[in-house]
Amino acid sequence: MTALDTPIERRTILKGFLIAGPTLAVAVRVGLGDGAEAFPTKSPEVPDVQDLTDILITTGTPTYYDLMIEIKPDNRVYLEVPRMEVGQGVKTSIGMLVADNLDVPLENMDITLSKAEQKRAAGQLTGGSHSVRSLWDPVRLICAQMRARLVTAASEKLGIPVTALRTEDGYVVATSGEKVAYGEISGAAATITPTAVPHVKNSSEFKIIGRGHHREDAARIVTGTMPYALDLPVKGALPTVVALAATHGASVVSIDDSAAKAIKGVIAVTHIPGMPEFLIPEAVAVTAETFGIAKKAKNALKIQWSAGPMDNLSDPQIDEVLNGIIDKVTAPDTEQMIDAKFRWPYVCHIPMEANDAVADVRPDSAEVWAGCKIPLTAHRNIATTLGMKVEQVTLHVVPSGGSFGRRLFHDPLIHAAQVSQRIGKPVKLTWLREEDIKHGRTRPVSIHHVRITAQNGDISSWEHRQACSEMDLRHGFGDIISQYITEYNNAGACQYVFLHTQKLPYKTGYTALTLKDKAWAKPTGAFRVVYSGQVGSINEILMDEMARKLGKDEVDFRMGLLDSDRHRAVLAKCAQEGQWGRKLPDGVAQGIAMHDEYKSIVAYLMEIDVRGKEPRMTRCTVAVDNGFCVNPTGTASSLLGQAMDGFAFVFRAGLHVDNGATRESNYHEYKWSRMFDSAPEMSCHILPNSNVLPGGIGELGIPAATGAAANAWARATGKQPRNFPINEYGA
Amino acid sequence: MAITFTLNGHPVTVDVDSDEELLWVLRDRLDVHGLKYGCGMGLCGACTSHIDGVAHRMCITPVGSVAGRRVTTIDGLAGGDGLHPVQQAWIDNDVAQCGYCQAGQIMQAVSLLNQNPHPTDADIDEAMGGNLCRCGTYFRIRSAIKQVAGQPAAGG
Repeated sequence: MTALDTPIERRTILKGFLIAGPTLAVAVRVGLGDGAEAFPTKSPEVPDVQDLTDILITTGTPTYYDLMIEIKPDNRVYLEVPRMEVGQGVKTSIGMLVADNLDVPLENMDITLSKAEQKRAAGQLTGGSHSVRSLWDPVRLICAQMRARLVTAASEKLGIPVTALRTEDGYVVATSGEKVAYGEISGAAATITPTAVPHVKNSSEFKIIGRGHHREDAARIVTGTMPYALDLPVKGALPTVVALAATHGASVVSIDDSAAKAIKGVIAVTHIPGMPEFLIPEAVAVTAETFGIAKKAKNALKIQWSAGPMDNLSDPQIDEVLNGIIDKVTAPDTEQMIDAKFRWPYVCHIPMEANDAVADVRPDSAEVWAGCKIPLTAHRNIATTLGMKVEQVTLHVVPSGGSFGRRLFHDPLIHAAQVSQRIGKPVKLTWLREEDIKHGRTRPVSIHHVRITAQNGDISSWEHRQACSEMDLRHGFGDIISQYITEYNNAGACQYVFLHTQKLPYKTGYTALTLKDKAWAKPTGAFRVVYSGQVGSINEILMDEMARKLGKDEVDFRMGLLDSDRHRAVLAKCAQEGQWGRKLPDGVAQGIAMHDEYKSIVAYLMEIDVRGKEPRMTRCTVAVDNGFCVNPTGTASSLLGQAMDGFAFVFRAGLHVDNGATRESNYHEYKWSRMFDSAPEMSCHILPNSNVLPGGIGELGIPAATGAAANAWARATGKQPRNFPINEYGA
Repeated sequence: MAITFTLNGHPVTVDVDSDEELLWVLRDRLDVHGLKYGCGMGLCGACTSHIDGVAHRMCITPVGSVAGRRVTTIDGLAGGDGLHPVQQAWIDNDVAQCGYCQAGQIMQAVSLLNQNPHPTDADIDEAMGGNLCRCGTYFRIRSAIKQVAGQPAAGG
């Protein structure tokens, strides 16, 4: 192994302990040059020692080396990615890894997604932004071995020693100029005993990795020929929609479907049980010639629903319960103290492609097609609900129109399978948008009590107490063991995930970040960046407020407290490129914020104009250090997009609960960012690689984008953001 | 009732209730899948297609209203094997992430550029404001529109 190949995990662990040491802490303070006594350095935080990324990769590693890479006779390379494509570009980035390490042109790759394969155990989870990092070493090692075999086979075919052969652009090439296409020798290479020594490429040899590439599916997307689940040519699949409960957790008492069935084109009305143990709701499904007819018939159903378990709860009662369970802040009152309470509402994922799936269930077998981020759990649950063995069920994983965490759950797969089994015909099923918003999974509603204190210009304590509705993690991490643990101890799983993700990348003295939660019937789940979307964003708002309280510049204040040079470089780059401190008209202000997770660090500098009817983003600058950047184009696309999520959380998005029912039903009521919110000027600056391994970026930006939007609004208005969305509550 | 219209350059006749939404007539009866369902209320623009060259929401357009008219979806936009300049600009600017809304975005942008070949930022905000993109690709959409309009885009 070269120094370049030293795993980062070891360094991270060392760093964590070093930071805890008083010697280094003093040295850092001296480096700052103000001569003040160092404030007691905080203990290492759990994610600095072992974070969720480490856990996912450690548990999944035994299965990562089973990759389907096939060189076809026509010299094209077929790759199955054992992950889910939801727009994050994982097919493109993993395709780039394979193409570069195998020495084939990217255009020669045919890339698809693996179907659910139980043998993968924990290796088929798409979540926690670990896809590229998890497959980085496996792809490099497997491709090196494949090249060694190809060189050996070419050597036998050409009668040229392996030492005089190299691989290039899908060919084995001899120094004499002779060459043979991979496709001609791939059969022989598969069974040969390699005599060439596998050479694992190092980064200086990469030709594709590290350079910006268009998405492999771009042409199909812009021509409308990219097939999403409901576009698949599954013969005879009948359009189906579902009606769900009036209030969360209620069940069917009686169904009068006479009016619905009288509508021309209606084929079946089917009462299905869902899987309440996984919060997959009971439903009444309508199957018809078209979705339009099915929708009309759904609206004509007369269903009597029972009372639900949270019918006596509306937002004020929910807040009251949360205020009763939240941990108390304990820091003594000091002069330099901020004591603040925040609230984030329930928000739902609303991927543009609603919850959908196609199912063809026959007496002895079943086939299901859907977007699915944890296909192994879904696969097992489909088999369970159909009374089949998993071997009888095939689950095809289909690229989807977005997820943001939604497709960790497999509600529509279960619904489609249950309907197909009962009517004996294949169905294509979608939850209509109304069901998606009223009954979809949500980021839990949360309240936060945060008290931070300062002494002599330093932060001396940081207490962040969160209480929220319990997050549903029963899906586990894809493997059967964690699924059982989460299924039977979901509350424990919440604490586990919270502890392995929540930290502050600053010297914050005595630091406590804690979670309390309460389970209700309204479905919840992980939302892009999970707990950090609430906790991290608020921490960044308060970093700003403490800076101003101490009379310091918001960027300078962070610079003095950040954990590492890597953090400082990201913040400095963002401030520089975004022209921190530039003159702006009254009513327009800059806001800055950072986030550190998934082995990556990001900063956003957003400018918000509050002079119009609603705040709008006028400029946005992003700087990121994502370890080793595989596709700069994809990295920038994702992080610029996440700016719009941050904007939505701060200003627009929020659900309400009225007597156990969700008030909002479609996009006119549940509002998200639009074109007129987006900044005409946006840029993303990727720092030079700081590591040998890629970090995650698919959700990294949310807390920083959210914090930057809120901080800019606060600086433009002089108000303190506390209750979101601001467009509704005013502050 | 029999309703005849031109779909992507070819005449088609369907025998359906005239109030059936065009989105579902095209997708479920005529197997045209480029346009997408997103909301069913004309709120998100994922189904946006053209009627006589102008963008409309197909999820709230009764099929009876297009009798005798020209309907163009993303599937027929380029009118051949090549790409429409707006489609090419979408690739050049790496607009798409999940891609689900982009057919509607492109059809809306083509409609805008047909009526206003040199739109300002305010024009783009207004014309594209009804097309939701959950991946937040608005900045790249703006750049792609400006490329077609021959204007420089800011940043990257």
